[in-house]
Amino acid sequence: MTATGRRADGVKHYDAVVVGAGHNGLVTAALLARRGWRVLVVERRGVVGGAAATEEIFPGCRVGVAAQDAGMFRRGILAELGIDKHELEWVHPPAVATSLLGGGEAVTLWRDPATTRDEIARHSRADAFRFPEWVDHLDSMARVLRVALDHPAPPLHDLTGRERLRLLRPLVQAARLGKRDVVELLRVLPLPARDLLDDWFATDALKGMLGTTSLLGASQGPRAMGGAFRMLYHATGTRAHGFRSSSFPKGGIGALSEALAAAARSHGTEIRTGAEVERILVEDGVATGIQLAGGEEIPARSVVSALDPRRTFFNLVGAPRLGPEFNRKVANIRMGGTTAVLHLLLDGLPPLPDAAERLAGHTLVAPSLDYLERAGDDAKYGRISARPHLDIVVPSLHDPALAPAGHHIASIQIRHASYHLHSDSWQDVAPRRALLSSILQVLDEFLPGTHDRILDHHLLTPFDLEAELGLTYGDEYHGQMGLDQLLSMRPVPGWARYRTPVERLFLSGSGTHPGGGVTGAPGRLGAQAILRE
Amino acid sequence: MAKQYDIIVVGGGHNGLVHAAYLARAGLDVCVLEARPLVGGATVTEEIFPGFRYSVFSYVVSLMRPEIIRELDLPRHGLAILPLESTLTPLPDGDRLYRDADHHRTWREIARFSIRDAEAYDDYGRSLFFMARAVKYLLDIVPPDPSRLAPGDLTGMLRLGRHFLGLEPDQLHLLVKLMTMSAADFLEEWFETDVLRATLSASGIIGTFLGPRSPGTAYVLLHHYMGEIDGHFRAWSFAKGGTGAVAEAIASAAREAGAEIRTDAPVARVLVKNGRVGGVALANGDELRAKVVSSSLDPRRTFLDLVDEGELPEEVVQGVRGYRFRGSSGKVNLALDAAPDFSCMPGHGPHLRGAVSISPSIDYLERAYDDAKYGDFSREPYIDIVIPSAIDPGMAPPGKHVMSCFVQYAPYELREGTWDEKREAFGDTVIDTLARYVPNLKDIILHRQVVTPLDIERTTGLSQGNIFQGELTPSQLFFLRPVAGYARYRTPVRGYYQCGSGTHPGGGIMGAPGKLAAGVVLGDLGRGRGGKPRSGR
Repeated sequence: MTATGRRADGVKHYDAVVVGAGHNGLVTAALLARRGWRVLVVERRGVVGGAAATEEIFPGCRVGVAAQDAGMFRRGILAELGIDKHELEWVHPPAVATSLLGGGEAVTLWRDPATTRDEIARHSRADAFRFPEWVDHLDSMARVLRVALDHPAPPLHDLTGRERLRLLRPLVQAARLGKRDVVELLRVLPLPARDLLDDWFATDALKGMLGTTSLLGASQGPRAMGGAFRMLYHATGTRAHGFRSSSFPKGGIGALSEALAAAARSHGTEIRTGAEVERILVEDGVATGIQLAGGEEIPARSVVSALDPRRTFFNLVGAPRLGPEFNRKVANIRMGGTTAVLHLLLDGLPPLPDAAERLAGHTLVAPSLDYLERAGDDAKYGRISARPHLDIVVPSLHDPALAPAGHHIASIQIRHASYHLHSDSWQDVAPRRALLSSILQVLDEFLPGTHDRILDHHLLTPFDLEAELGLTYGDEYHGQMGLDQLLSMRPVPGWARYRTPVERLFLSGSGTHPGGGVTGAPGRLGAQAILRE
Repeated sequence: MAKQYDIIVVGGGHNGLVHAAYLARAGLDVCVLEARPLVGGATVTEEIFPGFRYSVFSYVVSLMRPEIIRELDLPRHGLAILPLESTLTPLPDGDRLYRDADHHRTWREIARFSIRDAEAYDDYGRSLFFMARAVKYLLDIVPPDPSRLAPGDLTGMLRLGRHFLGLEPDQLHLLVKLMTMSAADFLEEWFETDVLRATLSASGIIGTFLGPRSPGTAYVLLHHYMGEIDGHFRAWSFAKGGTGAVAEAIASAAREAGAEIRTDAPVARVLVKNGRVGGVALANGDELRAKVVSSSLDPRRTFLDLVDEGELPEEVVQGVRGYRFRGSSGKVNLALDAAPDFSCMPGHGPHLRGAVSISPSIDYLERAYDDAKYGDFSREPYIDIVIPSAIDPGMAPPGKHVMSCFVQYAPYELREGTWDEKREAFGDTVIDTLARYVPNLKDIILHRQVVTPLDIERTTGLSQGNIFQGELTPSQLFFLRPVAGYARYRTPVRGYYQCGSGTHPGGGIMGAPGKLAAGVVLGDLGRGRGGKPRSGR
């Protein structure tokens, strides 16, 4: 089967060029190709996956660059693309998450509810008693929210009759889940994580642990409003067990991206890696193709950017083509990563009792909500947190083949490390050193013995995430997940339907509804919008 | 023996009085019961120090609904509104930002910091003014309840949808931003001058335990543009005779309409029999009978203290327990021997007749919040100052002044110690902070009254000293205020109603909850239609 046609002049032409082979770009490409479109994906890096790529960061090791957990990935997309367990195997470790409390103490949420209850009961019998109810509550809220993830954002105005009808479906779906749940969801969404958790639990350790998901996609601590929304958002994937989806592709997160790429290719999509897009070609307000860094021009009937909106519009299209009003909106998108990533190569697991079991999910340094709040305070003033929150994943526990025998990889996400430092620059050595030393100090305190097992390390500051992965300001969510940047407001008000002011230029990255995280949802909704055009 | 009233109103704050006035005007036999010796609740003027009259708690008037002023004919009952004409923000380096009604002077003043901001300032004012007008619609309606599908709720929802979807797209987006953003982020989209952003953002944090960088604070900016005195939006004003004069004018209107107002009459409990209200029992043991009881106290007192929890569904009890007060502010009232002399604007200028805001930068306010988050009062607090005696000489002896300082943050719950132990230290912190901008301050203080959140709670009964009867955050607004299912002023007990700031549309000297609740009561009694009380003379 040939994927590309040839015009009379001999230049290949495509129905669509997708810029960026992150998971959303790949989903869009695969879904378009499945409908018979001739699709080309161009990726600046040597591998597909973007932040969800696996690379040989240490010799002989396969390491997920930034993201590790893919439990939020919309399973419907895999089914649609015919990716089954032969193409992609999942690991659901028995431990969902373990919170390190210092002094060798830890509390683990297990996939098995009874074990979790016993574990929490060691800290508080009341909390243990309430936990199963919390799990159900979180699930029922997440169920309502999931409806939004699978539908385009309702426009705030100019509803055509057909759009009105289309809007009814999710509303009816949500209403069927129970009016009370919907009203409760409206109450809960804007709450600070802290308020929601205070309503349920007494134990600092438990609240700190559960509150960590409210920090994802935001530069604020658990007292910020909208945190409850982020907690629910991260519970929309596979069963959350009261916390978040905690599921990992076997072979590392890159296995998901590669499976998506394979599905796209099987429908005839071409994927060119090592191909950096210099600009998106626009003639008379219509996108006509792309130009690569070497000068090569590739014409296409449609251009889809899976990059963040700022990068797409300011770097690839160019502000002068867009008009002051739209530019102002793009410039006002609140972006700003506060996450750094540290990969460690270890010659064995840290000496924690039952380490192989307890460390198999998310291992957290988040002993209390105040701990997280103080880490957030540092970010607020452009400082590196002296005592950051850590989220450690050991993928080599899911798949021993990722590291040489007896060795392990620990991939740590660190919050908060602000992209915008108040008095330093990430290009200097000092802040990198300061960040590394805070991380290691916290590790010494909460997971003692790790230090002695480190053979090698690789640190990615927010600045590095921008440079390596093209994430503007190191924002892995392509724009903060605040209530003001969701639904019809994402990426900018008035342009939430994957279209742009440039005709035939579409967006389908995490900067669009429903937002960031390894969900594939923007990629799918973007493809659907493009197909409808 | 016991007299039977049509309606007993618990609490003689401004909302209880407005509620009573409307019901009395509809011909009902109304009795207001107030625990304190004077009416007003947190809207009182008291001569704490001989010759000096303090607006002890609330200190400015702007949100009072104009139709209430009109319908109750409050000017005839003594209400006189005096506008506050300027806002001065002194800076630590001796500079200042001074804005007043003179458009050109304000433009030049802002342009000293940024010409772009001076240009944007008018736009900003216009946008917020327009937004406030659109949102003001909400102040005048009883919230529909989306969890019921009664015809009234459905049409209410539809009308609401039509109202807001009728806005221009850009206005709608602005509205969403106001509802969801932090004041700091919202203002950053408009202005680059830190002190301007900070001073504007300050109105977003008043009464709320959030910092200017906390999402949700932008909405409160709007709340403060909704005030409407003499048809002018956002005219921050001062009542002649202090805020207590507002309460007295309403009380006078209520009495004239036939309402009985009893002070020194604390209510111990609301009498309920078979799910229906029968009257109230006073703290002294007396029982008063009524067909209807309306509580203007906050939701915690209304639901959990006045009635037995057993009378309420479990989810309502849970809902009210989860309703957040978190008092975060205090007051320092000063009697001064002379006028305060601001180093950034020396002498007796017109700035003394305006507001003075100690809010030099966003980080300053945010740090003040940081201290409070962990349970301490701010080491360098946000302070909003008015000098009532400069506007109304009757507030202090000739040549002398009263100065009202609203202070944030003062968290109700302290990490260490009690407010009784820390009251004076808190007062000292406020005075020290002010003295940096007012060098003569310490020499002219004749008397100071420090009001902590605990004092607000003790004196006025406001739980945790929250001045709005509960935070004005999205989870506690509109059909969620105070709890889902009971935002339409009714309660699970038949004949028992709510009419305080803990109900829609919330706190501030506005009177809207009292009036809207009166409409609902009258509707339920078959007198007039809900939401539209009879308003003829």
